[in-house]
Amino acid sequence: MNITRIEICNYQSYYNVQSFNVANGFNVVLGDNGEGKTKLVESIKWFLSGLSKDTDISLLNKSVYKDLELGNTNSAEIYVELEFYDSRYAQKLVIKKSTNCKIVESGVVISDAIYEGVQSTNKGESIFHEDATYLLREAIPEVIRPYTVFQGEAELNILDNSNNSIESLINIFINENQLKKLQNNAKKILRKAEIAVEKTAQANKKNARILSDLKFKIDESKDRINRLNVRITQQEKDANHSKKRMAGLNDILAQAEEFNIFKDKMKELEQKKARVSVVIKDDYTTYIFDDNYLLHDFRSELETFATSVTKLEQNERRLEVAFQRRVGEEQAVQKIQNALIGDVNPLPIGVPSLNVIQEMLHDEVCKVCNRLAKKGSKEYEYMKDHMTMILKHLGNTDLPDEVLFKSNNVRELSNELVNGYRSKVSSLLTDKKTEYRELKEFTLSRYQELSDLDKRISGLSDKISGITGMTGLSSDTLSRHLNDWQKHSQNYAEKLKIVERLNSTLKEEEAAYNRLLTHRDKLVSDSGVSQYLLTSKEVSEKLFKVFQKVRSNDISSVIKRLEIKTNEIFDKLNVHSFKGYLKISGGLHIQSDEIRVQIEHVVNQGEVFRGANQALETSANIALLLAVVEISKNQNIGSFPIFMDAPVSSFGRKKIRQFMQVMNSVDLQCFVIMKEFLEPDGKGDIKISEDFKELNPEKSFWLKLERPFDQEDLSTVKTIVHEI
Amino acid sequence: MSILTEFKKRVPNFPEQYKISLFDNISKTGGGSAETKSNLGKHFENNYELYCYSFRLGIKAEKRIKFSPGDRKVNFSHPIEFWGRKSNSKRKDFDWIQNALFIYCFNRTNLDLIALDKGEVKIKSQVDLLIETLEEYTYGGLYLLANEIESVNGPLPDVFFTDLLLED
Repeated sequence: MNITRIEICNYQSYYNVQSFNVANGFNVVLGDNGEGKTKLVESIKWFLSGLSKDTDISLLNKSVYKDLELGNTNSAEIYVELEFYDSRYAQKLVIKKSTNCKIVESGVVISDAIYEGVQSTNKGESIFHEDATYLLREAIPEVIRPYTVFQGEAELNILDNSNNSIESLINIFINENQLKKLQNNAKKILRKAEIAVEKTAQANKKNARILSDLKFKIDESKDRINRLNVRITQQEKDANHSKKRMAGLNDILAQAEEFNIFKDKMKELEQKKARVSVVIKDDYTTYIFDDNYLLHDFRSELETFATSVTKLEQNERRLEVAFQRRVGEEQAVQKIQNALIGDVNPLPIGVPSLNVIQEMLHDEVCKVCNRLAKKGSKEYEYMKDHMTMILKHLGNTDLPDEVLFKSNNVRELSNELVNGYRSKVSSLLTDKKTEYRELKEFTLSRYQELSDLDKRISGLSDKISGITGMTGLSSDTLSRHLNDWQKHSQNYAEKLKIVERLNSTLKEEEAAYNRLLTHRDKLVSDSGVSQYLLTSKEVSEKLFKVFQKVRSNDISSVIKRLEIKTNEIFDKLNVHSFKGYLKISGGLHIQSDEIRVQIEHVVNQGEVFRGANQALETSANIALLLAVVEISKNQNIGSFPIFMDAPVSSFGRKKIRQFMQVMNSVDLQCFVIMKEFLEPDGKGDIKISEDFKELNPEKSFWLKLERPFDQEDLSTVKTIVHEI
Repeated sequence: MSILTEFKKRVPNFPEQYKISLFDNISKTGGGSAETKSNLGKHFENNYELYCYSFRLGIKAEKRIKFSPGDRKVNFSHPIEFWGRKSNSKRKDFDWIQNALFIYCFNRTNLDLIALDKGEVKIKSQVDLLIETLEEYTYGGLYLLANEIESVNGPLPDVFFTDLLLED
């Protein structure tokens, strides 16, 4: 049904009641950025969205919200009311979706939304509907709601048809349910006729058993055929899904592939960078100790030290030798003296010499009286006293010390830090200055390498950014798309193979099934079944096939009309421009008994077009949309309005004019909400451009904020509707 | 007890004037976490690393400064025998430093080892001489280092200490 009036109250920027008395055809709503265009479209979306819990308080106009908070008012209503006129039944429907807001202790609260409505006829009869959801379904059926409101070009992607809404629409267009019912009835009659024939045939006992076996085999074969059909349908659906996804990704495939090449290269460079970073050694101060830089001249130092210690050692040895020689000489003299004293020195007669006494003390025997003189005995002490006396008599008997050096510092240093020490510390003796310079040079060149790698990475990063900028997709999304494309491509090929195999099996099974049927029919005919029954069965079979054929033809016909109409509009939207052809194909899939539609943008008589720019794509979507609306008007649905917010952002001036002309020429109710045709008036304000008047839409409105308003206070923002 | 062992048991001093300006500022002992210390521009992990470095700098430049009677000496209570033992997975041990210091000092000290071995002089007197050499060259190195650091604007370059030690 078409809308005759729109009323919006307290919905976001719409303060109090704002009305649009709209035309049955082409309506244009102009508005600059931030003046209420989007809120208008959102209010319509909200109106169509059905009942839901948790309505958001942010829907309430901020000025009203403030009034509630300040206690200026106790409650407020948000509503969107649409008035429809149904020309088929000459009736008017007023449907209002509303919610109440009030102030409570915790603040402003909002109730769940409700639908109320009034249905009135030309004769003046009016019926109030407390729950008007049914009226809404009548005004705009749910099946066409996906074709009603579009925000921006991105939402105008109905060519995609990913939710199979075109198929649902065709169902409605051809009154599919009614036809299907007839077809099912024909099927029931056929089944009854078959049973009757079977029963009669089984009366012949001779054939009864064979027929029973055949029936079992036929049923089994039928089951297998059905199962195969289900599997084929499923596999085909999967294949088509992948094909659609691939087609959707084709545009960015080249960029995604390039992107992946760059990304791989980037990864390789990052890894190289990490490897280079690892080998860089720049903790120089630590190397003073860890790499022995502190001892860069230690070799000469050690040589000096070794020379000194060796010299000291030699000196000590020389001194020691001289000392020992002197000791030796003195000992020799002493020895002679002692010998002389011991053997020659005159002592009183009978007193043994020193040597003899020493010998006697040693042997503990008195060799004068030939008696034992044990240590400690009186005899022993006597001999010892005599020896002391003799020695005293002989004068000085001290012998020189036998050791010159009382400590061995020089020898220890020699042992510890000279002999063998050089080999122990060989790592300390390398050329540290050269090592250090080489390290510095190496590190410097690695840093240079890192800098070069950084430059290359930055270059690649720019290229990647270029690709992501061009496609408007993030790097992750591009990567994912490429993976998706590859996955779907593989899946598509696999599914096609499976379908081919299943179809071949199905063909064999169908042949076997038909052989069984022929065999059974022959047996039945030989069993004496009456011609009347056989004819009934044949007729009901033909009836079933006729209904099926009618359905199939109807569906094909609607699809064909949709294709023709779409391309007519597509032509008008792209006068003198390259555009290609919108191929809409499909029909009734007999095995699955489902409608299938395929929409493709093709060039060169069938080749899928992948290079459509945004403007061409948008015009294709608009063409299909308008065709759907036009066809539905002539089918069971009747006309319905469409709202398009900023639908032509990518269009140039010429194409916008073509679009406006097409919209003016098609016989449907349409609302185009746009900011085009508004331009500065040279006095700091904006005005409607002259060329807009030439386009002559049936009705046009201008949304403007009430002036003045506080740029930082949302409660001062109020959209006012001006009819132009 | 040998002169080498006795030398290693000593804790050498340095002039107090460099305690804050050099030891506290560029050595990482104390002053918070490793990261904080690194952020503060501390280049040496230990006081004795800076000590050894300064000593070698003094040797390289032949800069030996005798302590004046007014000079106050301080130390970090860490005998030479423990220097260079890191027990740290990130660093290598460098306890060769102990012998190396001895050798550098030995070559620059007028010792009488023969008299020592004869027992004519006490071991303490000889070790005192070695430590004096160590402290005076370190003093010289610290003096040079302080001047060099002062002449740098901004943070010290990575190669500052190595260039000073190894480049002519």
